[in-house]
Amino acid sequence: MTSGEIIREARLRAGMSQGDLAAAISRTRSQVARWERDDVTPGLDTLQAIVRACGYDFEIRLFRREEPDDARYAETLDLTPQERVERALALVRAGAVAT
Amino acid sequence: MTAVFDPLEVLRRLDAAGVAYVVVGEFAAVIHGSPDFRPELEIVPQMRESNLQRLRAALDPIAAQPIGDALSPAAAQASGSLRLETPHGPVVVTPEPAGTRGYDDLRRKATREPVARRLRPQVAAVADLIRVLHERGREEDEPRLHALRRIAELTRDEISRPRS
Repeated sequence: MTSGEIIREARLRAGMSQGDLAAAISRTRSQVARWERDDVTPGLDTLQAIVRACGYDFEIRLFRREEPDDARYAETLDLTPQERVERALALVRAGAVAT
Repeated sequence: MTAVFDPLEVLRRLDAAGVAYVVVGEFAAVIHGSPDFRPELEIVPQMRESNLQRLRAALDPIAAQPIGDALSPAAAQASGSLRLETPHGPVVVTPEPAGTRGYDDLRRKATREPVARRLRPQVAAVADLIRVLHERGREEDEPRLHALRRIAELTRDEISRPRS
C-alpha cells in the first residue's frame, strides 16, 4: 500500500473531501491531491499527522521478509556444519552436483 | 586423474602437516549453509615460507603437478589462484582473495567449524566470503553472492530472535 492510498483511504473513511482534509492540516487541496496520486511522498511524521487528522492512526511493524529460496536455506541452516558437509558430499556421490 | 570429491581428506592432510590456512570459497559456503556449490576446496594459506613448505609437503604427494615455486611469499600479491588436481578433487590455493589481505585478514573473523570427527578447520566468515565475491565482480558469482547475503540475513535473524 502506498502512502497515497493510505491518505485516500483514511480521508474517505472519515467522509472528508480533499478540501476538508487540507483545511484540517493547514495545507492546500492540491497538496493533498499530489499526496494521494503519489506524485509526492510525505515523510513518516507528516503521513501520521494526515491520518490522525482523519481520526485514524496506523502502526508500523517489522516482520521477517521471505524469499523464494528461504525454505531451501532453512533446510541446510538447520543442520550442523558436519551434517551440511555430509549432505554436500552425498549430493556429489549421487551425481546431483556437476563436477 | 579420476577424482572423488573428498575435501575432508585434503583438510586432514593439511592439519597433519601443520599447515596454517583458512577455508574460503564454495566449500566454506557449504559449511555455512549454502545449499548449492561447485565441488572444489579453496584455501588461503599463511604465506610464510615455513608454512608454504608444510603446504608443499602436504599437497605435492597428491597433486598432479607439484606446487614447486608457484607459491612464494614474494609472489603472494602477483599470483592469482593455483588450482591443483588431486584424487580428492580440485584444490585451489589462493594467497590473497579479491578485496582481502590474505590469511591474516581472513583469520580475524574466521571460526573453527566441526566438519568431521576431529576436524575443525578455520573457515572464513560469511561476511568475508561476501566481500570476496563482491570484489571479484563476476556475473557468474551473482547467484552465490545472493545466497550468501540471504544466509547472512537469516542467521542474523536467528541470532537476534530469542529462542522459545
